[in-house]
Amino acid sequence: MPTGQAAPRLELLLSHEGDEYRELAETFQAELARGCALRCTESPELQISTIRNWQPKHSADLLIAVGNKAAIHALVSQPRRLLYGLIPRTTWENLTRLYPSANSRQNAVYLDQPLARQFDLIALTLPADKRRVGVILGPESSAYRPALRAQAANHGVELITEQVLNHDEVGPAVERLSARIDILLALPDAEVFNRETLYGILLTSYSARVPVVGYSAALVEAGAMIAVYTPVSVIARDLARASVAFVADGDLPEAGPSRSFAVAINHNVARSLGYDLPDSVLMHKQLTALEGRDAAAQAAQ
Amino acid sequence: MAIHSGQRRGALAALVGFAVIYAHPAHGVSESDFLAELPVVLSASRLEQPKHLAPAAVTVIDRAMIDASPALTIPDLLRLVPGFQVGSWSGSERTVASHGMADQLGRRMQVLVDGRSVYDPVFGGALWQSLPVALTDVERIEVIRGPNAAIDGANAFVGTINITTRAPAAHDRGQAQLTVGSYGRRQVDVAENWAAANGRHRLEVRAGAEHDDGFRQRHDTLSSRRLSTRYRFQATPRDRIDVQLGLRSSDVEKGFPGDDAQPLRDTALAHHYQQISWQHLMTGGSDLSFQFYHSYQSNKDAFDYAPYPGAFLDFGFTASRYDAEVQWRGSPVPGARLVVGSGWRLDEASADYALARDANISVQQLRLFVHGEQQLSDDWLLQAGAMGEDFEGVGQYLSPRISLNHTFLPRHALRLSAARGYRIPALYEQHARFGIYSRSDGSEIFIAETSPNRVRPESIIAYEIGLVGEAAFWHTRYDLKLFRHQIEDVIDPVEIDRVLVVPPDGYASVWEFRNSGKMDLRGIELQVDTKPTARTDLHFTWSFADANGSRLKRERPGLTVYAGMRGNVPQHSFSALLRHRFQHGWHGSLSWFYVDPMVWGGEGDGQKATNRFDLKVARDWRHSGSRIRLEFLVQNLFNRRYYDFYVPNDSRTGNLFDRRLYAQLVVRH
Repeated sequence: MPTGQAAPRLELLLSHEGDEYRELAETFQAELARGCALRCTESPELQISTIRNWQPKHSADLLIAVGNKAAIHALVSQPRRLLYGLIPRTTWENLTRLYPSANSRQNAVYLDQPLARQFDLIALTLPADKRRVGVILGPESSAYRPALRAQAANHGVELITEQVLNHDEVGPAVERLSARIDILLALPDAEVFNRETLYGILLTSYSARVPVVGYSAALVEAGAMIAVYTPVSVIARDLARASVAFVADGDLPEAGPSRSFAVAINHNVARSLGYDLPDSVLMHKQLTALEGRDAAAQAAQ
Repeated sequence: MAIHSGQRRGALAALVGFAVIYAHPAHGVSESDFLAELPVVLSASRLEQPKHLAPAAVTVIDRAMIDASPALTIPDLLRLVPGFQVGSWSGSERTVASHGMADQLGRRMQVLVDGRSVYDPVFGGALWQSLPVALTDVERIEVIRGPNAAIDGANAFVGTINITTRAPAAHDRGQAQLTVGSYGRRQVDVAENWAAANGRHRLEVRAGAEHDDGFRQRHDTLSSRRLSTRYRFQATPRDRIDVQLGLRSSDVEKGFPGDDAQPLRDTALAHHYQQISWQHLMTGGSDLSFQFYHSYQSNKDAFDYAPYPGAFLDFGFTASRYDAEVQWRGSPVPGARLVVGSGWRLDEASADYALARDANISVQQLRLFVHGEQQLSDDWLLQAGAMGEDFEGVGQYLSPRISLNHTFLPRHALRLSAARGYRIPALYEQHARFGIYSRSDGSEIFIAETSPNRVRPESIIAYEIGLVGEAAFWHTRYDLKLFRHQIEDVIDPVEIDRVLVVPPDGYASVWEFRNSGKMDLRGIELQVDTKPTARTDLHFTWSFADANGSRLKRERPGLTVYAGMRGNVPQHSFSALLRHRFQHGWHGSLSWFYVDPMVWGGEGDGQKATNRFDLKVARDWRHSGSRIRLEFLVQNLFNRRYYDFYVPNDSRTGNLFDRRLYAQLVVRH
C-alpha cells in the first residue's frame, strides 16, 4: 500500500443514488470493515459519494467507481489507483483501450459472466439431441465471436450467429435464427437487447420453442428461461475484498468477472417449453462442480 | 480558474471516454442493462402448458405453419386440426365442424379472438366472413379438442378455437400483402406499427380489403373492408394495458336462381369491437387481469317473397355483447396452480322478423370459474376445474372437468379425463319466429320456424384417454386420443306441419325447435408433428369416428319420422402439411386433406369423399432493407373436383371446388 503515514483513504463513487447502489455501498462498507479487521494494519478512511455532488480532490489512494457514469468521472480525478465495479465488460475494454497509460493503475470487477460458464450452463440445460446454440451479435458484442467459437467447440455444441448493425434488424434476425437453433444465448448489446426489441425476441423465440439464456435476473423474469448472473451484493463483496488486498498489500487483483455467481430460472417458461430443470441452488452446485472438474482437468494437462 | 495540465488531459480523456461509451444512440451497454427491471413478456397467462401435461388435447397452429400453409382464410387453416371439417356454403362463407354435426353455423365450438368471444348470440357459431381479423394478423391458433366449458364456458361444447393476433411491434415495422388469383380474388392487407418511449407505448394499425367472386355459377361474391388498431401501454414493468378497436363491413351476395325463399340478393354484414384489458403481475409470479369488451354484429338481409305480392322475408339482425371478466392466476402452495375468476355478460339482440317480438332479447349471464392443478407426485398431475354459469331465462349450469396425467417417461404422458358441458340455445333457437311478413303493416302472413316450447341446453359428457409425448427421433411430437362423447338434448328444428301458403300448390313446411335427438360418438384422433430433416417439417392428422344417434325429424299428425345422425359424422378424415426450406430463399409446402362422405346439417347436402392436395412455392429475398416474399399457391392441385356443402340438384347449382391459383406478394420492413 502507499507508504504515507496517514490512514489509507478510499473513496466509493456511485453513479446513481438508487436502491442497487445503496445496497452495494452498505455491503461494501460492512465487508471492508470485516476484511480489514483481519488483514489491515490500519483501518482505511472511507468516503462514499455519488457523481451528482462529487468534487474530484485527488486525495483518495484508491477510488472505487461504481457503474458506467462513475467510471467516466473517475478518469478526470486522476486517482493513484482506480477500481471499477458494476460495469459491463465492454465498458472496461473501452476504458483500457482509450486510456492505456492508466492501465497500470486501473482494475475492474465487471458484471458479465465468463462465456465458459454460460456454455457450461447451456450444456447442463440442453438435452443430448439438441446442440445448436444461437447468438445475435450486435456492434458491441461482435467482438466476442472468436471466444464464442472457441467455447462452442470446447463444449461440443454448434454455434449459429446472426450479425445485426442496429435494432431494426433484430426482429428479422431472431425470426431467421429461431428456425435453426435449439437455444438462444443472449449477450449484452444495447442494439440487440433493449426494451424495444425485448418483446420481439422473447415472443418469437418462445413461439419457435427456443429457450433464451439470459445475462441478468431481470431478463429471466421477463421471459428468458435461465441465466447465470452476478448479483450486486457479490460485486460489493468482490470490490471490498480487492480493497482490503490493496490496503493490506498495496496491490489489486487482476481485472475480471466476479468469482461468484447466481443462477436464475424461470420455471414457468422452462415447464412450458418442456424443460425439467432443477432449482437454482442445485443448478449452481452442478455448475460449480463442473467448473471444478474443468479446472482439475486443465491442471492435470 | 487554472486547470492543471494533468486535469486537462483527464478531462479530455473523459470526453473521449464519453464519446466511446456513449457514442451509441442507445448509449452502449451500462449496468442498467443488467440491473433494471424489465417488462414481463412471457407471463404465466401467455405461456402454453406443455402438451403432455394439458388437461385436454390441444392443436397449435403457429405462425410458421400459417406462413407455410396455402390457406387464405382462418377457417381453411382449421382443416389441419384432427377431426375438423370445413365446409364452404358459399365462396366466402365457411362453417367449421368437429366430427361433423354442423350446418352453416358451427354452433358447438367457442371462438375467441384475443380472449374476446366472437360467437354470435343470435344464430350461434362464428360468422367467419365478418371477423375483423385477416390471416396475416394471426400469431397463433390454439384449438382445444373436446369439451372445454370448464374454462371457456357453455358453447365450448366440443372445443374452443382460440385465435391470438400479433402483438404490436413483435416482428416488423410494417407489412403489406397483396393476393390475386382465381375467381376474381383480390386482397390487400397493410399493417404499420410504431413504438415510443423505449417501447412503453406501442401502436399498430391494420387495414385491408378483399374481393372474391366465389364459386362458379353461384351468386356469392364477397367484397369486404377492414380496419383495426391495437395500442399497448406498458405502464410499469408489471402493468400492461391493451386497447383494441376494429371494424369490418362486408357485402355478400346470396341466393339461388329460381328459389323464392332464397332469391338472388345482396346482403350486408358489419362487425365492430372495442376491447380493453389490463394485466398486473404480482410478486411471487401470480397475476391479476381484467378485461372488458363490447362487440357488435349486424346482418342486413331482407327480400321480397315473389309468389306473394307485398310479402317479404328478413334474416337480418343486430347483436351487441358487453363482457367483463376478472381473473387471478397463481400458485398458492408449491406444486399447485390455481386460476379463479368471475365474469358478467350482456347480450342484446334485435331481429324483428326472425325473433318473437315479445321475447326477452336482452340476456345477462354471470359466471364464476376455478381451475386447480396439483402435482400429486413427480409423475402424477391432477387437474380439476369447473365453470358455473347463470343464464337469465335459461337456468344455472355447472360444467366441470377432471383430468389425471401420468408422466410414465420424461416427456411422455398418459391422460385420463372426464368433462361435462352444455350448449346454451342461441336466441334464435329459443325465440324463433321466422316467416313471411306483410310489407304494408309488418304482420305475419306465414310463420315457418318457431320455438314455442322451452328448449333445454344440449349437454355433453366426455371421457378421454390421451397418449401425448415427444420423442428424440426426428423431433417427433405425437398426440393420440381415444374419446367417447355422449350428447343429449340435441337441438334441431322438427317439421310439424306442411301448409298451403300460396295456392294452388305453394306448400311450405312448418318447423319447431326441439330437443330432438341424442348422439353417442366414439372415436380416435391422432396428430403427429415431426422434423425428418433440419429443413423439413411434417404435420399429420387422422381421425376416426363412429357415431350412433338419431333425432326426431318430422312429427305431423299420424306421422313421426326419426332420422339417423350417423351420416352427419365422417368416419375418417386425414390432413397433412409437409413443408421444406430449400436453398437460396426458396421454400414450399404440400398439403393433403381427405374427408370421408358426410352429410352437412341444415340446408347442407351429402358430400362425397373429398381428396384434395394444395401446393405452395415461395421465394424470399431482400431489397434495400425490405424483406420480400413472392408466393404461388395452388389449391386442389390435381383438379379433383368436388362439391362443397351444396351438391347440385334439379333446382339449384352446387359449390364446385376446382383448381385455384393464387399469387401473393408480401413486403415487410
